[in-house]
Amino acid sequence: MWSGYYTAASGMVSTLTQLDVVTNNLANMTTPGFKKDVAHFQTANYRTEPETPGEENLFRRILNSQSTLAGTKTDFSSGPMVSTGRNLDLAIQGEGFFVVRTPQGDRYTRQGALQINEKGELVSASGAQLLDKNNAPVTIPGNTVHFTENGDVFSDGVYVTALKVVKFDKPEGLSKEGTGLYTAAQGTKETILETPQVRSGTLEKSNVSIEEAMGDLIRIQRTFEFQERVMTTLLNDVARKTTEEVGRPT
Amino acid sequence: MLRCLYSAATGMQAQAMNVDVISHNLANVNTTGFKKSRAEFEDLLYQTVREPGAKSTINTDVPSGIQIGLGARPVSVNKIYTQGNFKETGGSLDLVIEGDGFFQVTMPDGTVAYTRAGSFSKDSTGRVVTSDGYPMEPPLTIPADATSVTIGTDGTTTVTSPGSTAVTEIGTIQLAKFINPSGLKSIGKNLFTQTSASGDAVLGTPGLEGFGTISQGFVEISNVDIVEELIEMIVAQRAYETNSRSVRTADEMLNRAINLGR
Repeated sequence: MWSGYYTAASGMVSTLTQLDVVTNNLANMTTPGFKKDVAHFQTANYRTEPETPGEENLFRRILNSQSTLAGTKTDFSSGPMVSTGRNLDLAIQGEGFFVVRTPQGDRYTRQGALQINEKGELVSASGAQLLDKNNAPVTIPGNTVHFTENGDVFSDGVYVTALKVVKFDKPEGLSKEGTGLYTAAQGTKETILETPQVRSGTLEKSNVSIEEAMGDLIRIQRTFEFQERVMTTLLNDVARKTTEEVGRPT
Repeated sequence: MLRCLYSAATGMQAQAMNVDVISHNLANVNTTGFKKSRAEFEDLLYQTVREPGAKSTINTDVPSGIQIGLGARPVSVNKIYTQGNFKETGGSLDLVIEGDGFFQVTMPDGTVAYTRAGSFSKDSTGRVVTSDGYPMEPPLTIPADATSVTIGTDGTTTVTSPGSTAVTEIGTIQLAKFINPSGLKSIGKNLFTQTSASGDAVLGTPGLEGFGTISQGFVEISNVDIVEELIEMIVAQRAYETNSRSVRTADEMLNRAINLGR
């Protein structure tokens, strides 16, 4: 049938996916350390009209191109830092990720609302052990805990260990696993930061901006309506006119 | 296709809970020894349509994958144990802890609970009890004929008796401390109980080993900051509205899709 029909349909599907991504960003507007995702699209499957031999077409006719989701990219820009007054709230200023150990393996996170579990280990809000530079869980021996700006851990005034904070050459190789955790794709190189900038008593808020997200919502909705209009025109006007009127004896 | 509706719903639920926590804080803005809470959220699972780093041809990788998140959920409600302001009352059994530590009280079932609310009184037998009548642990009994009670910064409690200039020591207040006070469980009445997350109570003398000191004649008022809470409330309300706007957008788009060609 009309190739424009499929083009418009693929556009509508893409637009709905875009809404999924923006909605997830909005749902995580108050999730500490959350990084927003951006969906980007590509055109695919061009079909070009064959050129007539001997004639040079000024414009090549492109037909039946489709819009498909090319990828979602995480925007790793920093969120606002907010002081909380709780010394187990850690934020990383600038680049870097904490490393936590989950039953599924080591994961990366920027979410620093820590707890101390019953074994005296530093754990993330969901209970994954935080790792130090020797890849071991951090156990607090004393009754108090204090962090320096470079991620050194002190307990009762005695040095315990240094937190492991890593950065990646290609952060786009990180994929989200939920609960604030990231996994690194194979071949993504991590570098341990020697002097990370860790702020105790501070949480990094989500980097979702409400203005941008509302703008996205409106744009998505209007785009969808426009695509729907194209489709309706094709279905109602072009298709009906062709079937009902072309060839009708006059 | 309807992912966005469910994601927006999780966002709205999270914000509703956020408002619950903020309202509880605001309701306790004048509660002695109250410590504010903060709801903590995390992102839910991601639907991975394509892994980042997957091969697009034998020689090239996909630089970024396709991942669609499914919303947010609350993960914890943390107590924030910052010091509240002090209010002078002049009461001889109104005590504040300047710094870390909790008073210990014995519950009716014999277990020990912990509190920062130091507005104690005497019961009929002279025992020092909380406003709900739970006695302080270790027990402290003030003799019926005592004319004045003095509690030192290290918790040493002395009384004077009529017709005597000498002071008599009747006991010492002991404080408890936890490595992870956020893990304590609130049981209402300004009381907390220990859990496996908070760790065991570490007992000590006020003023020593990182414990706070005691001041007599003051109470510690709530550490809720109204301005901060109201700002959090605005953020939560706007976040809720934006999520409901997502629902509406999704609904209108789906409506158009359903009515295609009409």
